[in-house]
Amino acid sequence: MYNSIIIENFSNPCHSGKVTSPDFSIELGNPVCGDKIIVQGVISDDRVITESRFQAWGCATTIATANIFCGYLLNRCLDAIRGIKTEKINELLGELEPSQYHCLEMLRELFQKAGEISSDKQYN
Amino acid sequence: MTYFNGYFDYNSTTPMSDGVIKELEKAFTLFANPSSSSKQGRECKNIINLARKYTADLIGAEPEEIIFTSGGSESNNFAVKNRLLKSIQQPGTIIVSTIEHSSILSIVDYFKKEFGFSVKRISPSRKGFIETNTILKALTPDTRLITIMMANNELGNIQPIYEIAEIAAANNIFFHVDGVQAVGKIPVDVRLLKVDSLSISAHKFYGPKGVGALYLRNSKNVHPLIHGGGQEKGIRGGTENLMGIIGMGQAALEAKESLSKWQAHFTQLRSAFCKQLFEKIPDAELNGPDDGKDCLLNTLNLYIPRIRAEALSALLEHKHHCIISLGAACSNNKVLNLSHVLKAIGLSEEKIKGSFRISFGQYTRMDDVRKLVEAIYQSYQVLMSVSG
Repeated sequence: MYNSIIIENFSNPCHSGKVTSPDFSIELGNPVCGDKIIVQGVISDDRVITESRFQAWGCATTIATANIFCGYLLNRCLDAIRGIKTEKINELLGELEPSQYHCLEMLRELFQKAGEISSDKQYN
Repeated sequence: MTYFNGYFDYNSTTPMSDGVIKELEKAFTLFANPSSSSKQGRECKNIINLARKYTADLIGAEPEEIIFTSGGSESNNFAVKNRLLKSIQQPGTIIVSTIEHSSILSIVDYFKKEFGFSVKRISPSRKGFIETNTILKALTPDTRLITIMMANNELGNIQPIYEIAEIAAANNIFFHVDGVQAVGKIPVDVRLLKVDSLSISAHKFYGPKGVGALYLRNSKNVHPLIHGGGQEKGIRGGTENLMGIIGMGQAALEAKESLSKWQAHFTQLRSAFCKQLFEKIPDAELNGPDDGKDCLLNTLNLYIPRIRAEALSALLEHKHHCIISLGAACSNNKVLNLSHVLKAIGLSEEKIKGSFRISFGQYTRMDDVRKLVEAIYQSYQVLMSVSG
């Protein structure tokens, strides 16, 4: 039911938590299943994400998605995050069952919102 | 003795008992057709008849009232079809509870759609019981069938079958009972209950999968389920599932002998589980009967606030090797799969998503219960920390 990437990430959600003074906060939810993810992070002067943490309410795959996303953000430049290819996003969660596809959509939306951060005045 | 120490989903299915496995091993070389007049064929027929006797004994029936099937769903379909096909020229009303197994709900819907039967759906109480006055109110002069399950698979409620059977008999209405979850867990006596038909499934009480039975009080003028070779009194044609039937017979024999011991065992496990869990998570709630009265003692349906049971189940399985069952399956973007039973007792979507079922079996040990409670508590803490 869950692939090994998902199992590893929901079993050990090492990026869960809150950031004390976040530079950004991304929030999204799935209106059908009610899953919700909040991601906060810190961005350095040279536009690198130096801290990323999440809170999640939802199924195991949603928790794994949030953890994978935070892990990907960490130590990456905003430009690299904005430039991520769809194929790469699709690979991050591994092979999913149809009932888990909504998590891939959530992940794409997280990257879309993260991409918008790099357009914010503060970091341009 | 085999142990299944992380398995808490016995209402879903049970492992075959050691005794059943032993009987099956002994039967591996049997190959004669039970309908054959050869010595070997007659031996196989005798073995089937012995299994039929053991199965009948488990529910207080006569052997000739037992028809072997492929399992609970087939038995339920067969019972409903048999009764309603007799009324196809004058379709009437079917009374059914909203918490039946899908094999009942689907066949009832089929007869509604294809043949114009009307359906009266009885909702349970908040704690999952079908109240007899709701059956009385639903009665119409053209009621052809009442079908109610004996024990609910998700909540564990034991329904007032005897009282409903009296109502059905007084009004000359055929009464089918889905006994799949009850048989092998509580004493069932079809003579006392006075039901017209009752479904059984072997894999719910340590028998093999793919075999079950239908108790049919009156098998005269029955519409055959499978037309053909005349097996099962001509009601279900086809060469018998010899291995399955042998396994079912042995499982029935063991269940009859062990029932009171298992019930005492479940009482202890249930009590210990509730005490330990509610100490650690005081705001957890029981969805079904809360005092253990009129319910399967091996079954607990629980709700824990602020977490998703799906995530809890995943952590239990992959970090603690414990298997439980869910009230809501993970959904895609178009469909939300919530338990129709939990919806029927009025639980909110949020509560259903936080609900799960634990069901004990004969191999569950007290130490397994302690480990399960600890595993639930640790997983609960992880989920609470993730949600902040």
